[in-house]
Amino acid sequence: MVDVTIPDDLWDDDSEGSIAAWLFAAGDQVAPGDLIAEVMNEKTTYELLAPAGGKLVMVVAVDEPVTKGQLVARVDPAD
Amino acid sequence: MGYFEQEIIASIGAIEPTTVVDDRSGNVQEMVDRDEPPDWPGDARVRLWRNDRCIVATRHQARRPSFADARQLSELAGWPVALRRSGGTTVIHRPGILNVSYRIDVNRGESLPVERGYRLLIDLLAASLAKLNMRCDAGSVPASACDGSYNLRWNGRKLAGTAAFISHQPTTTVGVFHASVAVEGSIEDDLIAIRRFEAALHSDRPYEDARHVTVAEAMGSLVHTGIRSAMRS
Repeated sequence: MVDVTIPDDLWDDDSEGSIAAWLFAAGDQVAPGDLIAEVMNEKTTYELLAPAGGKLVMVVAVDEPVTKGQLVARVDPAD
Repeated sequence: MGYFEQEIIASIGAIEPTTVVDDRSGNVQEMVDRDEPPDWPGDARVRLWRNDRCIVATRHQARRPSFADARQLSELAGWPVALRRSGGTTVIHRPGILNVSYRIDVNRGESLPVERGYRLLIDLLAASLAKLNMRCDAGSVPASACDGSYNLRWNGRKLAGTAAFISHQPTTTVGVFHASVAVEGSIEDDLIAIRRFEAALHSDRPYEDARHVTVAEAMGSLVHTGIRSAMRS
């Protein structure tokens, strides 16, 4: 399993953000570099890309608060 | 285009030479979508643009179950709804509101300085309005619509809201930082439209008209103050 985390340097301070949208459904196959989610912090929207190809497993739901470095999903490369 | 809008556009162009006034036509959604990096005009760092009267919601708001009903209600009231990529909540576009979009590109893999992007945008706007003798700063305006940390303020009142989206392009990461400057027109009518839309979306908040200001109102106040000062001296 490959972890999908909020990058440590995605925004400038230590405030919380949230997952604004998952752009795939749970269990969908994603490719490396696919845009899989939008993350919002204050009034800025960021793109979250898949770090690997495989089945997407969400750990955090839409609108749940997230912090930088937090695990939000996993990608299972197993067939 | 009114006098103040012309002056602001001229000031911004003088400060930032790559500024483009984007006069391409389109429907309200097409106009918003031109902030997307591939649609950006040439090498411009700043894009100035205007839109027809509309509500501009976020894609996050559009995912609420009540969005379709809220959209229909707003359209029936004469306010079509467009969607934007950046964060925040509901804003207004219309004649009398000048949109200022500021673009920053960094190489893929580099960190894009988000606070710096907002500061560059705010500083550009503040410098252009200083030429009209308006002293502006940045900060939150509680009880204003779509509040945030980087509103452009005049006398503590919200003159422009800002928001941004960060997008990965093939070789770069692009930040588009956007402000909607209320140059003239009715704040009261704007907030009526926002309240109607957000109430239908079941996400309404209390906003106060007096927390907002337009450039025209501010200039009227400055002229009045100047006249009173002159009469006393």
